[in-house]
Amino acid sequence: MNADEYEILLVEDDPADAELTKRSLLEEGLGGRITHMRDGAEALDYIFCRGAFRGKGLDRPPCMILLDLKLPRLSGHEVLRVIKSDWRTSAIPVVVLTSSNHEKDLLQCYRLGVNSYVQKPVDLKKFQETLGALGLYWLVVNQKPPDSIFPRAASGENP
Amino acid sequence: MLLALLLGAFALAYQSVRHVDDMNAWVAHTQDVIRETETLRLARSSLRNDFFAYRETGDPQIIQEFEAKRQKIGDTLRRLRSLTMDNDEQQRLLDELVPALMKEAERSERAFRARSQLAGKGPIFAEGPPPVTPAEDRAREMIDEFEKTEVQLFRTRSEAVQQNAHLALKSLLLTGLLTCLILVAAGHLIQREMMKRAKVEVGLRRAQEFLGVRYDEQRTELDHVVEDLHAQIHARKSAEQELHRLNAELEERVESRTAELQELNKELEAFTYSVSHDLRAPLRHMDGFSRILQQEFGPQLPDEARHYLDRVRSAATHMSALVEDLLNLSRVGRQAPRRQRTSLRALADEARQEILEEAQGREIAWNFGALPEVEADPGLLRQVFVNLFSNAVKFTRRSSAPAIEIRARQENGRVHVSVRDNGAGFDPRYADKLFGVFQRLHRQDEYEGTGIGLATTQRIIHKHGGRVWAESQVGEGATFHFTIPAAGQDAAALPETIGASA
Repeated sequence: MNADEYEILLVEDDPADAELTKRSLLEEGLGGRITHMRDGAEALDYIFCRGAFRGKGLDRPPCMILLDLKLPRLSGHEVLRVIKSDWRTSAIPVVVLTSSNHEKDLLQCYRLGVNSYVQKPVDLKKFQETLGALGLYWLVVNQKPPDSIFPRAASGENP
Repeated sequence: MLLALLLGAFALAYQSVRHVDDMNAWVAHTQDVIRETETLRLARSSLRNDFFAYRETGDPQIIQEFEAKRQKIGDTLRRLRSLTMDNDEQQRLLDELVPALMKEAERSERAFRARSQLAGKGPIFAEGPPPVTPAEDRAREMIDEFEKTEVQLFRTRSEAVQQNAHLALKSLLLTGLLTCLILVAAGHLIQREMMKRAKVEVGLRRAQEFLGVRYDEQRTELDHVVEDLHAQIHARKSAEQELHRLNAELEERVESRTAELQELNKELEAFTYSVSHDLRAPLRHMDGFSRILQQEFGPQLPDEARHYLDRVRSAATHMSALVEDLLNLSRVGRQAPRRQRTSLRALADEARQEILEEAQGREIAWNFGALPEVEADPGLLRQVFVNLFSNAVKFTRRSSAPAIEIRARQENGRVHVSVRDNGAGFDPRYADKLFGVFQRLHRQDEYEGTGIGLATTQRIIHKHGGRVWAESQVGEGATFHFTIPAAGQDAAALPETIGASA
């Protein structure tokens, strides 16, 4: 798969976690184009090409959004709700990648329409394997939604 | 009786008095009759004298008086007849007397008329008084007899009156006597009665005094009792008020305590969330970067450095396990089991599959007996099996032919499950310590562990109203037992229930 063909959006506030995730994705051969956003508000600005990202945000939908739940400013839950309740972004696969296996979090995410919920294993090896499996599934096995549904980010339309 | 006699006597006396009255009337009557008789006699005699006088003198004055006198005789006779209407004898005499006297009068009249023809011729000298005719005698006798009859009647009546008077006197005497007797007797009786009454009065007064004293005593006593009662009521009321106050206070306290607990629970929730999320992240980083260090620079590192990196990684792994187990324990403590009909067999199989990954391909002989259905929270019960199997796998690590045996039997509405291994076993003296949090019977370098798994197991079993215990000898393996309500059984209704809130 050509690295230019896909984009993975990683929303993670913890730089160590972000580094481990990026490294693991690379190790698994998924190092295409990884965009890293450090909080919920930044992520939404990027997705909807607004604020600091006016005119330079997404020009087509990412293949997958890896979303942490515990984020500064806007939490992962809020980001998830906005993405899944907007017709332009609701088709993008969102995988929640979190330390929490809290039942409340699980339920809430599934109710908001998350596509997958993965708990980060402490063991790096397992973590790497998990990310590999995720990439394989969402980027290779799964058919992504057509790009046509995604509004041109340059249009600057705000939700 | 006496009274009746007295009444009789009085009646008799009264009768007598009445008789006396009657008699007085009779006396008056007789006197009247005698007076009238005398009048008659005088009138007759006067008439007769007048006859002779006229014959002698021819005085016309006499003739004038004659008619009045004859009239008088007639009147007298009529009065007599009416007076003696009750006496037949006298009436009969009158019947005879009246015509006789009438005849006499007519004779006299005739004689007067004859003499009057010679009027003015001066006195006629008579040859003495004319002889008395037998008729005249008869008339006189009849008058006498009439009078005599009356006198006789009077006598008879007065005798009767006298007798009556005697009787009356006697009866009056008797009455008086009786009255006296009655008076005396009555007086006696009254006196006796008075004495009795006096006695009774004295007795009554004493009784009254006595009763008065008693009454006062009892009154005082009653007053005391009433006071006591009032005091008790007051005490009870104030106790009730106190109780109300305490209740209100208690409620308030319960409310505030509940609020506190809710607050605490929230905090705990936040804490466990934080632990599960934030505590694990650094552990992951420790493990991750240590591993990267080993991978990237492993060949260049001295053995000692690699060893320390191993220590860092295993510490991170252990801490991660601790966090995981503690989170589990706290989750089990907070949530009520969601009981449903559950297959022990299916849960045990799942748990074995999970454990086999840890067993790292070791050869273990699993022996499952017949496992029935139970009434339990499948998620929690699965964890019990995971914990017990995990222990069994861990402690049979050094056994030559590790074997794990699961058995179950039904007894009194419960299912008794046992998990037996042929591993290291433990000293039975410490059997009660097994289920405490962080309690371990083996050193970490012998058999790793967090010391939380069995505590969690016990908590889950207690929550189901069951019991858990273990038996073992060092070197002879261990058997863990637990009971759980059989399918269709209500845990609360079963006997020997152990506190479900542990």
